[in-house]
Amino acid sequence: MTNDDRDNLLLLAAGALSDDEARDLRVRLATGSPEEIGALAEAEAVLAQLPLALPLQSPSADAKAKLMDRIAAAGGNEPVTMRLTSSPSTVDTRSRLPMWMSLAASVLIFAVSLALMFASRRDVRQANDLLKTTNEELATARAELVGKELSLNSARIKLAAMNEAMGAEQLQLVGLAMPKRDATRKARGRILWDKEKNQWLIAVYDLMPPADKGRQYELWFITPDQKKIPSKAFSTSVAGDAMIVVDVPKDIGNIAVAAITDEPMGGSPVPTGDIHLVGKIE
Amino acid sequence: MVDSQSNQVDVVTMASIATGDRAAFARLYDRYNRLVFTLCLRILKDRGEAEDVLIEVFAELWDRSQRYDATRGSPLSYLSTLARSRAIDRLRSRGKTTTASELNTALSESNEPAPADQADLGEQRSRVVAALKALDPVYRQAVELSFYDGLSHSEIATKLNKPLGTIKTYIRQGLIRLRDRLRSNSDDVVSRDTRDE
Repeated sequence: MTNDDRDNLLLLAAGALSDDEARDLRVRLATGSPEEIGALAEAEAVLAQLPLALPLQSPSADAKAKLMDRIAAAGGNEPVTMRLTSSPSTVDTRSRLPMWMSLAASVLIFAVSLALMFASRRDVRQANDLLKTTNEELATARAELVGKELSLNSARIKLAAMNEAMGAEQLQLVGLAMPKRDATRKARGRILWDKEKNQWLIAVYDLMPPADKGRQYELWFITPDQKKIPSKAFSTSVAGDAMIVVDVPKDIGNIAVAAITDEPMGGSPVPTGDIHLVGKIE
Repeated sequence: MVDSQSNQVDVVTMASIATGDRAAFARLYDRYNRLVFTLCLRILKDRGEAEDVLIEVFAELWDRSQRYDATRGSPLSYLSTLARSRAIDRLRSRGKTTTASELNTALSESNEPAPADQADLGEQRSRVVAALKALDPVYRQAVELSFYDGLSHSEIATKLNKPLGTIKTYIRQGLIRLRDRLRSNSDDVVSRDTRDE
Protein backbone atom coordinates (compact mmCIF):
# COMPACT_ATOMS: atom_id res chain seq x y z
CA MET A 1 0.00 0.00 0.00
CA THR A 2 1.17 3.52 -0.74
CA ASN A 3 1.27 6.40 1.71
CA ASP A 4 -1.81 7.81 0.00
CA ASP A 5 -3.56 4.51 0.61
CA ARG A 6 -2.75 4.66 4.30
CA ASP A 7 -4.03 8.23 4.50
CA ASN A 8 -7.19 7.14 2.74
CA LEU A 9 -7.93 4.33 5.20
CA LEU A 10 -9.68 6.79 7.49
CA LEU A 11 -11.66 8.15 4.57
CA LEU A 12 -12.61 4.61 3.66
CA ALA A 13 -13.85 3.94 7.17
CA ALA A 14 -15.91 7.14 7.09
CA GLY A 15 -17.38 6.22 3.73
CA ALA A 16 -15.90 9.33 2.21
CA LEU A 17 -14.34 7.66 -0.80
CA SER A 18 -16.19 7.19 -4.03
CA ASP A 19 -17.39 3.65 -4.78
CA ASP A 20 -14.54 3.05 -7.22
CA GLU A 21 -11.91 4.44 -4.85
CA ALA A 22 -13.28 2.37 -1.96
CA ARG A 23 -13.35 -0.80 -4.01
CA ASP A 24 -9.79 -0.31 -5.28
CA LEU A 25 -8.49 0.44 -1.80
CA ARG A 26 -10.16 -2.63 -0.34
CA VAL A 27 -8.49 -4.73 -3.01
CA ARG A 28 -5.09 -3.32 -2.03
CA LEU A 29 -5.93 -3.67 1.64
CA ALA A 30 -6.41 -7.39 1.07
CA THR A 31 -2.63 -7.62 0.89
CA GLY A 32 -2.03 -4.93 3.46
CA SER A 33 -0.04 -5.33 6.66
CA PRO A 34 -1.73 -6.20 9.96
CA GLU A 35 -1.11 -2.59 11.06
CA GLU A 36 -2.96 -1.23 8.05
CA ILE A 37 -5.87 -3.60 8.51
CA GLY A 38 -5.86 -2.75 12.19
CA ALA A 39 -5.92 0.97 11.40
CA LEU A 40 -9.05 0.51 9.33
CA ALA A 41 -10.70 -1.61 12.00
CA GLU A 42 -9.89 1.00 14.64
CA ALA A 43 -11.32 3.79 12.50
CA GLU A 44 -14.48 1.76 11.95
CA ALA A 45 -14.70 1.18 15.68
CA VAL A 46 -14.57 4.92 16.31
CA LEU A 47 -17.26 5.59 13.76
CA ALA A 48 -19.40 2.77 15.08
CA GLN A 49 -19.83 4.75 18.26
CA LEU A 50 -21.00 7.95 16.58
CA PRO A 51 -24.66 6.94 16.67
CA LEU A 52 -24.39 6.75 20.45
CA ALA A 53 -24.23 10.52 20.46
CA LEU A 54 -27.61 10.77 18.78
CA PRO A 55 -30.78 10.91 20.83
CA LEU A 56 -31.73 7.25 20.80
CA GLN A 57 -34.99 6.36 19.11
CA SER A 58 -36.97 3.13 19.44
CA PRO A 59 -38.50 1.18 16.60
CA SER A 60 -42.08 0.07 16.73
CA ALA A 61 -43.03 -2.57 19.25
CA ASP A 62 -43.68 -5.23 16.63
CA ALA A 63 -40.31 -4.82 14.87
CA LYS A 64 -38.78 -7.50 17.03
CA ALA A 65 -41.65 -9.88 16.38
CA LYS A 66 -41.29 -9.39 12.65
CA LEU A 67 -37.62 -10.11 12.91
CA MET A 68 -38.00 -13.25 14.98
CA ASP A 69 -40.70 -14.52 12.62
CA ARG A 70 -38.38 -13.93 9.73
CA ILE A 71 -35.48 -15.88 11.17
CA ALA A 72 -37.82 -18.64 12.29
CA ALA A 73 -39.09 -18.94 8.75
CA ALA A 74 -35.54 -19.06 7.47
CA GLY A 75 -34.77 -21.95 9.84
CA GLY A 76 -31.50 -22.33 11.73
CA ASN A 77 -32.59 -23.90 14.97
CA GLU A 78 -30.19 -26.82 14.51
CA PRO A 79 -26.88 -26.64 16.30
CA VAL A 80 -24.23 -25.29 13.98
CA THR A 81 -20.47 -25.57 14.36
CA MET A 82 -19.31 -22.46 16.18
CA ARG A 83 -16.57 -20.47 14.47
CA LEU A 84 -15.14 -17.14 15.39
CA THR A 85 -13.35 -16.64 12.07
CA SER A 86 -14.65 -15.42 8.76
CA SER A 87 -14.34 -18.71 6.95
CA PRO A 88 -17.51 -19.49 5.02
CA SER A 89 -19.79 -22.23 6.23
CA THR A 90 -19.11 -25.52 4.48
CA VAL A 91 -20.91 -28.73 3.94
CA ASP A 92 -18.75 -31.73 3.42
CA THR A 93 -19.37 -32.58 -0.21
CA ARG A 94 -16.26 -34.64 -0.76
CA SER A 95 -16.94 -38.05 -2.16
CA ARG A 96 -15.37 -40.93 -0.35
CA LEU A 97 -12.52 -42.35 -2.42
CA PRO A 98 -10.92 -45.71 -1.91
CA MET A 99 -7.83 -45.45 0.24
CA TRP A 100 -5.49 -46.60 -2.54
CA MET A 101 -6.77 -43.87 -4.87
CA SER A 102 -6.21 -41.23 -2.20
CA LEU A 103 -2.71 -42.54 -1.65
CA ALA A 104 -1.96 -42.64 -5.36
CA ALA A 105 -3.22 -39.08 -5.75
CA SER A 106 -1.00 -37.93 -2.89
CA VAL A 107 2.06 -39.61 -4.40
CA LEU A 108 1.30 -38.08 -7.79
CA ILE A 109 0.92 -34.61 -6.33
CA PHE A 110 4.16 -35.06 -4.41
CA ALA A 111 6.01 -36.18 -7.54
CA VAL A 112 4.66 -33.27 -9.57
CA SER A 113 5.64 -30.86 -6.80
CA LEU A 114 9.17 -32.28 -6.73
CA ALA A 115 9.45 -32.01 -10.49
CA LEU A 116 8.24 -28.44 -10.41
CA MET A 117 10.64 -27.63 -7.59
CA PHE A 118 13.62 -29.06 -9.47
CA ALA A 119 12.54 -27.33 -12.66
CA SER A 120 12.30 -24.04 -10.86
CA ARG A 121 15.72 -24.60 -9.28
CA ARG A 122 17.19 -25.27 -12.71
CA ASP A 123 15.57 -22.10 -13.98
CA VAL A 124 17.05 -20.20 -11.07
CA ARG A 125 20.51 -21.60 -11.79
CA GLN A 126 20.23 -20.70 -15.45
CA ALA A 127 19.05 -17.24 -14.56
CA ASN A 128 22.00 -16.83 -12.17
CA ASP A 129 24.44 -17.99 -14.84
CA LEU A 130 22.95 -15.56 -17.32
CA LEU A 131 23.16 -12.79 -14.77
CA LYS A 132 26.79 -13.60 -14.06
CA THR A 133 27.67 -13.59 -17.76
CA THR A 134 25.81 -10.34 -18.28
CA ASN A 135 27.65 -8.76 -15.36
CA GLU A 136 30.98 -9.86 -16.75
CA GLU A 137 30.13 -8.45 -20.16
CA LEU A 138 29.02 -5.26 -18.53
CA ALA A 139 32.30 -4.97 -16.61
CA THR A 140 34.26 -5.53 -19.80
CA ALA A 141 32.23 -2.94 -21.64
CA ARG A 142 32.78 -0.48 -18.80
CA ALA A 143 36.54 -1.08 -18.88
CA GLU A 144 36.57 -0.55 -22.62
CA LEU A 145 34.61 2.62 -22.20
CA VAL A 146 37.03 3.92 -19.60
CA GLY A 147 39.92 3.10 -21.89
CA LYS A 148 38.27 4.91 -24.76
CA GLU A 149 37.61 7.89 -22.57
CA LEU A 150 41.27 8.01 -21.57
CA SER A 151 42.32 7.77 -25.19
CA LEU A 152 39.91 10.54 -26.06
CA ASN A 153 41.25 12.76 -23.31
CA SER A 154 44.79 12.05 -24.39
CA ALA A 155 43.91 12.95 -27.96
CA ARG A 156 42.29 16.17 -26.78
CA ILE A 157 45.42 17.13 -24.87
CA LYS A 158 47.62 16.37 -27.84
CA LEU A 159 45.39 18.35 -30.15
CA ALA A 160 45.46 21.31 -27.78
CA ALA A 161 49.26 21.18 -27.61
CA MET A 162 49.46 20.90 -31.38
CA ASN A 163 47.17 23.85 -31.86
CA GLU A 164 49.14 25.92 -29.43
CA ALA A 165 52.38 25.09 -31.16
CA MET A 166 50.91 25.74 -34.62
CA GLY A 167 49.79 29.13 -33.42
CA ALA A 168 53.29 30.23 -32.48
CA GLU A 169 54.42 33.44 -34.14
CA GLN A 170 57.88 31.96 -34.88
CA LEU A 171 57.62 28.33 -35.75
CA GLN A 172 60.16 25.98 -37.32
CA LEU A 173 59.15 22.60 -38.63
CA VAL A 174 61.69 19.74 -38.59
CA GLY A 175 61.09 16.30 -40.04
CA LEU A 176 62.37 13.13 -38.36
CA ALA A 177 63.04 10.04 -40.45
CA MET A 178 64.63 6.62 -40.06
CA PRO A 179 68.42 6.70 -40.59
CA LYS A 180 68.21 3.73 -43.00
CA ARG A 181 65.46 2.77 -45.35
CA ASP A 182 63.57 -0.21 -44.01
CA ALA A 183 60.71 -1.63 -46.02
CA THR A 184 59.32 -3.24 -42.87
CA ARG A 185 59.18 -0.03 -40.92
CA LYS A 186 57.75 3.38 -41.61
CA ALA A 187 58.50 5.26 -38.43
CA ARG A 188 58.55 9.05 -38.78
CA GLY A 189 58.23 12.17 -36.69
CA ARG A 190 57.80 15.96 -36.66
CA ILE A 191 59.26 18.67 -34.47
CA LEU A 192 57.39 21.95 -34.08
CA TRP A 193 59.89 24.42 -32.65
CA ASP A 194 58.23 27.40 -30.98
CA LYS A 195 61.07 29.89 -31.13
CA GLU A 196 59.31 32.31 -28.81
CA LYS A 197 58.81 29.82 -26.03
CA ASN A 198 61.88 27.84 -27.04
CA GLN A 199 59.92 24.62 -26.84
CA TRP A 200 59.84 21.58 -29.04
CA LEU A 201 56.65 19.64 -29.65
CA ILE A 202 57.66 16.27 -30.96
CA ALA A 203 55.17 13.90 -32.53
CA VAL A 204 56.23 10.44 -33.66
CA TYR A 205 54.25 7.92 -35.68
CA ASP A 206 54.64 4.18 -36.23
CA LEU A 207 57.56 4.01 -33.86
CA MET A 208 56.69 0.71 -32.29
CA PRO A 209 57.61 0.16 -28.68
CA PRO A 210 61.00 -1.51 -28.18
CA ALA A 211 60.82 -5.27 -28.14
CA ASP A 212 62.59 -5.21 -24.82
CA LYS A 213 59.97 -4.01 -22.41
CA GLY A 214 62.67 -2.64 -20.14
CA ARG A 215 63.57 0.04 -22.65
CA GLN A 216 62.20 3.37 -23.77
CA TYR A 217 62.96 5.97 -26.42
CA GLU A 218 65.01 9.05 -25.64
CA LEU A 219 65.33 12.39 -27.39
CA TRP A 220 68.79 13.97 -27.96
CA PHE A 221 69.89 17.49 -28.86
CA ILE A 222 73.09 17.17 -30.90
CA THR A 223 75.24 20.26 -31.36
CA PRO A 224 77.43 21.04 -34.34
CA ASP A 225 80.46 19.76 -32.36
CA GLN A 226 78.70 16.44 -31.77
CA LYS A 227 77.79 16.99 -28.19
CA LYS A 228 74.84 14.73 -27.40
CA ILE A 229 72.65 16.37 -24.80
CA PRO A 230 69.94 14.12 -23.32
CA SER A 231 66.36 15.36 -23.25
CA LYS A 232 63.27 13.38 -22.38
CA ALA A 233 62.69 9.62 -22.20
CA PHE A 234 59.30 8.54 -23.47
CA SER A 235 57.29 5.55 -24.52
CA THR A 236 55.16 5.09 -27.61
CA SER A 237 51.73 3.58 -27.72
CA VAL A 238 51.12 0.13 -29.05
CA ALA A 239 50.30 1.86 -32.34
CA GLY A 240 53.70 3.55 -32.29
CA ASP A 241 52.43 7.06 -31.53
CA ALA A 242 53.75 9.56 -29.03
CA MET A 243 53.70 13.30 -28.46
CA ILE A 244 55.97 15.09 -26.04
CA VAL A 245 56.78 18.72 -25.31
CA VAL A 246 60.29 19.64 -24.13
CA ASP A 247 62.07 22.89 -23.32
CA VAL A 248 65.16 23.60 -25.36
CA PRO A 249 68.08 24.18 -22.94
CA LYS A 250 68.84 27.92 -22.78
CA ASP A 251 72.59 27.74 -23.00
CA ILE A 252 72.77 24.97 -25.59
CA GLY A 253 73.80 27.24 -28.43
CA ASN A 254 73.16 25.96 -31.95
CA ILE A 255 71.44 22.62 -32.45
CA ALA A 256 72.52 20.70 -35.52
CA VAL A 257 70.55 17.46 -35.20
CA ALA A 258 67.68 15.94 -33.28
CA ALA A 259 67.79 12.18 -32.70
CA ILE A 260 65.74 9.49 -30.96
CA THR A 261 67.36 6.30 -29.67
CA ASP A 262 66.21 3.41 -27.57
CA GLU A 263 67.65 3.39 -24.06
CA PRO A 264 67.11 1.68 -20.69
CA MET A 265 63.83 2.59 -18.99
CA GLY A 266 64.09 6.12 -17.54
CA GLY A 267 66.72 7.24 -20.06
CA SER A 268 70.51 7.30 -20.19
CA PRO A 269 73.04 10.15 -19.79
CA VAL A 270 74.81 8.99 -22.93
CA PRO A 271 73.37 7.29 -26.03
CA THR A 272 73.69 3.50 -25.82
CA GLY A 273 71.02 2.24 -28.17
CA ASP A 274 70.17 2.32 -31.84
CA ILE A 275 69.11 5.51 -33.61
CA HIS A 276 65.51 5.14 -34.73
CA LEU A 277 64.69 8.66 -35.90
CA VAL A 278 66.92 11.56 -36.83
CA GLY A 279 66.42 15.02 -38.26
CA LYS A 280 68.68 17.82 -39.38
CA ILE A 281 68.07 21.24 -37.89
CA GLU A 282 68.54 23.98 -40.48
CA MET B 1 -11.90 2.34 23.08
CA VAL B 2 -15.04 0.23 23.24
CA ASP B 3 -15.75 -0.83 26.79
CA SER B 4 -13.78 -4.06 26.99
CA GLN B 5 -16.13 -5.91 29.33
CA SER B 6 -19.26 -5.27 27.32
CA ASN B 7 -17.35 -6.12 24.18
CA GLN B 8 -16.41 -9.47 25.62
CA VAL B 9 -20.01 -10.15 26.51
CA ASP B 10 -21.06 -9.26 22.99
CA VAL B 11 -18.43 -11.51 21.45
CA VAL B 12 -19.68 -14.42 23.49
CA THR B 13 -23.23 -13.56 22.43
CA MET B 14 -22.19 -13.56 18.79
CA ALA B 15 -20.55 -16.93 19.25
CA SER B 16 -23.79 -18.26 20.70
CA ILE B 17 -25.78 -16.82 17.83
CA ALA B 18 -23.49 -18.65 15.43
CA THR B 19 -24.63 -21.89 17.04
CA GLY B 20 -28.25 -21.03 16.33
CA ASP B 21 -29.06 -19.70 19.76
CA ARG B 22 -32.13 -17.52 19.24
CA ALA B 23 -32.23 -16.40 22.83
CA ALA B 24 -28.75 -14.93 22.42
CA PHE B 25 -29.89 -13.29 19.22
CA ALA B 26 -32.84 -11.76 20.98
CA ARG B 27 -30.55 -10.44 23.72
CA LEU B 28 -28.31 -8.82 21.12
CA TYR B 29 -31.34 -7.27 19.46
CA ASP B 30 -32.59 -5.90 22.77
CA ARG B 31 -29.21 -4.41 23.44
CA TYR B 32 -28.62 -2.71 20.12
CA ASN B 33 -31.94 -2.25 18.33
CA ARG B 34 -32.30 1.39 19.38
CA LEU B 35 -28.79 2.24 18.35
CA VAL B 36 -29.17 0.60 14.95
CA PHE B 37 -32.60 2.11 14.45
CA THR B 38 -31.37 5.59 15.43
CA LEU B 39 -28.50 5.31 12.99
CA CYS B 40 -30.81 4.19 10.18
CA LEU B 41 -33.26 6.93 11.03
CA ARG B 42 -30.55 9.56 11.00
CA ILE B 43 -29.50 8.44 7.52
CA LEU B 44 -32.90 7.72 6.00
CA LYS B 45 -34.97 10.24 7.94
CA ASP B 46 -38.01 7.98 7.61
CA ARG B 47 -39.17 5.71 10.42
CA GLY B 48 -40.73 3.11 8.17
CA GLU B 49 -37.62 2.69 6.07
CA ALA B 50 -35.37 2.86 9.10
CA GLU B 51 -37.32 -0.02 10.65
CA ASP B 52 -37.13 -2.04 7.42
CA VAL B 53 -33.37 -1.64 7.38
CA LEU B 54 -33.17 -2.47 11.09
CA ILE B 55 -34.85 -5.80 10.45
CA GLU B 56 -32.70 -6.45 7.38
CA VAL B 57 -29.53 -5.77 9.33
CA PHE B 58 -30.34 -8.11 12.18
CA ALA B 59 -31.62 -10.77 9.81
CA GLU B 60 -28.38 -10.54 7.89
CA LEU B 61 -26.41 -10.77 11.12
CA TRP B 62 -28.33 -13.97 11.96
CA ASP B 63 -27.75 -15.46 8.52
CA ARG B 64 -24.04 -14.66 8.52
CA SER B 65 -23.27 -15.02 12.19
CA GLN B 66 -20.68 -17.70 11.48
CA ARG B 67 -18.74 -15.27 9.33
CA TYR B 68 -18.32 -12.74 12.07
CA ASP B 69 -14.62 -12.34 12.85
CA ALA B 70 -13.99 -11.05 16.37
CA THR B 71 -10.43 -10.16 15.44
CA ARG B 72 -11.62 -7.68 12.82
CA GLY B 73 -13.84 -5.60 15.09
CA SER B 74 -16.28 -5.57 17.97
CA PRO B 75 -19.90 -6.70 17.49
CA LEU B 76 -20.93 -3.06 17.93
CA SER B 77 -18.57 -2.00 15.16
CA TYR B 78 -19.82 -4.84 12.98
CA LEU B 79 -23.47 -3.92 13.53
CA SER B 80 -22.90 -0.23 13.09
CA THR B 81 -20.90 -0.66 9.88
CA LEU B 82 -23.45 -3.07 8.48
CA ALA B 83 -26.36 -0.83 9.40
CA ARG B 84 -24.77 2.22 7.89
CA SER B 85 -23.95 0.35 4.72
CA ARG B 86 -27.48 -0.96 4.26
CA ALA B 87 -29.03 2.39 5.11
CA ILE B 88 -26.82 4.22 2.64
CA ASP B 89 -27.70 1.65 -0.02
CA ARG B 90 -31.39 2.27 0.66
CA LEU B 91 -30.83 6.02 0.59
CA ARG B 92 -29.12 5.87 -2.79
CA SER B 93 -31.69 3.58 -4.28
CA ARG B 94 -34.37 5.94 -3.09
CA GLY B 95 -32.66 8.99 -4.53
CA LYS B 96 -34.81 11.21 -2.37
CA THR B 97 -33.70 14.17 -0.36
CA THR B 98 -35.45 14.78 2.91
CA THR B 99 -36.47 18.16 4.14
CA ALA B 100 -35.61 19.45 7.58
CA SER B 101 -39.24 19.17 8.67
CA GLU B 102 -39.35 15.51 7.68
CA LEU B 103 -36.24 14.96 9.73
CA ASN B 104 -37.67 16.72 12.72
CA THR B 105 -40.89 14.70 12.43
CA ALA B 106 -38.94 11.50 12.26
CA LEU B 107 -36.85 12.43 15.25
CA SER B 108 -39.60 13.81 17.43
CA GLU B 109 -41.06 10.45 18.36
CA SER B 110 -40.45 8.13 21.22
CA ASN B 111 -37.39 8.94 23.18
CA GLU B 112 -37.52 6.34 25.90
CA PRO B 113 -34.96 6.13 28.61
CA ALA B 114 -32.44 3.35 28.33
CA PRO B 115 -33.29 0.11 30.08
CA ALA B 116 -31.32 -0.62 33.23
CA ASP B 117 -29.24 -3.37 31.67
CA GLN B 118 -27.87 -0.89 29.17
CA ALA B 119 -26.15 1.27 31.74
CA ASP B 120 -22.79 0.53 30.15
CA LEU B 121 -24.06 1.82 26.83
CA GLY B 122 -25.18 4.97 28.59
CA GLU B 123 -21.69 5.48 29.93
CA GLN B 124 -20.22 4.87 26.53
CA ARG B 125 -22.71 7.30 25.08
CA SER B 126 -21.56 9.99 27.48
CA ARG B 127 -17.98 9.52 26.36
CA VAL B 128 -18.90 9.76 22.70
CA VAL B 129 -21.00 12.88 23.27
CA ALA B 130 -18.13 14.51 25.15
CA ALA B 131 -15.64 13.55 22.46
CA LEU B 132 -17.85 15.00 19.73
CA LYS B 133 -18.40 18.20 21.67
CA ALA B 134 -14.65 18.64 21.98
CA LEU B 135 -14.21 18.19 18.25
CA ASP B 136 -13.70 21.18 16.02
CA PRO B 137 -17.06 21.93 14.35
CA VAL B 138 -15.64 21.77 10.82
CA TYR B 139 -14.16 18.34 11.50
CA ARG B 140 -17.38 17.12 13.05
CA GLN B 141 -19.43 18.38 10.16
CA ALA B 142 -17.20 16.67 7.59
CA VAL B 143 -17.23 13.37 9.47
CA GLU B 144 -21.00 13.45 9.92
CA LEU B 145 -21.67 14.36 6.31
CA SER B 146 -19.66 11.38 5.14
CA PHE B 147 -20.90 8.96 7.79
CA TYR B 148 -24.55 9.85 8.02
CA ASP B 149 -25.27 11.31 4.62
CA GLY B 150 -23.11 8.94 2.62
CA LEU B 151 -21.41 11.78 0.80
CA SER B 152 -18.01 11.20 -0.75
CA HIS B 153 -15.20 13.65 -0.06
CA SER B 154 -15.72 15.30 -3.44
CA GLU B 155 -19.44 15.68 -2.79
CA ILE B 156 -18.75 17.21 0.60
CA ALA B 157 -16.23 19.56 -0.96
CA THR B 158 -18.86 20.70 -3.44
CA LYS B 159 -21.53 21.03 -0.78
CA LEU B 160 -19.35 23.08 1.56
CA ASN B 161 -17.52 24.87 -1.24
CA LYS B 162 -14.16 23.84 0.11
CA PRO B 163 -11.11 22.35 -1.61
CA LEU B 164 -11.03 18.59 -1.79
CA GLY B 165 -7.75 18.38 0.11
CA THR B 166 -9.26 20.42 2.91
CA ILE B 167 -12.21 18.08 3.27
CA LYS B 168 -9.94 15.05 3.34
CA THR B 169 -7.92 16.72 6.08
CA TYR B 170 -11.07 17.53 8.04
CA ILE B 171 -12.27 13.95 7.93
CA ARG B 172 -8.89 12.48 8.79
CA GLN B 173 -8.22 14.89 11.59
CA GLY B 174 -11.74 14.52 12.89
CA LEU B 175 -11.39 10.76 13.13
CA ILE B 176 -7.91 10.92 14.59
CA ARG B 177 -9.02 13.31 17.33
CA LEU B 178 -12.13 11.32 18.06
CA ARG B 179 -10.07 8.17 18.28
CA ASP B 180 -7.54 9.75 20.61
CA ARG B 181 -10.26 11.23 22.79
CA LEU B 182 -12.16 7.97 23.05
CA ARG B 183 -8.93 6.10 23.74
CA SER B 184 -8.06 8.31 26.66
CA ASN B 185 -11.60 8.04 27.98
CA SER B 186 -11.47 4.26 27.61
CA ASP B 187 -8.20 4.12 29.53
CA ASP B 188 -9.90 5.95 32.36
CA VAL B 189 -12.68 3.38 32.33
CA VAL B 190 -10.28 0.47 32.29
CA SER B 191 -8.24 1.80 35.18
CA ARG B 192 -11.41 2.50 37.08
CA ASP B 193 -12.70 -1.03 36.45
CA THR B 194 -9.37 -2.45 37.52
CA ARG B 195 -9.47 -0.48 40.71
CA ASP B 196 -12.93 -1.80 41.49
CA GLU B 197 -11.85 -5.44 41.25
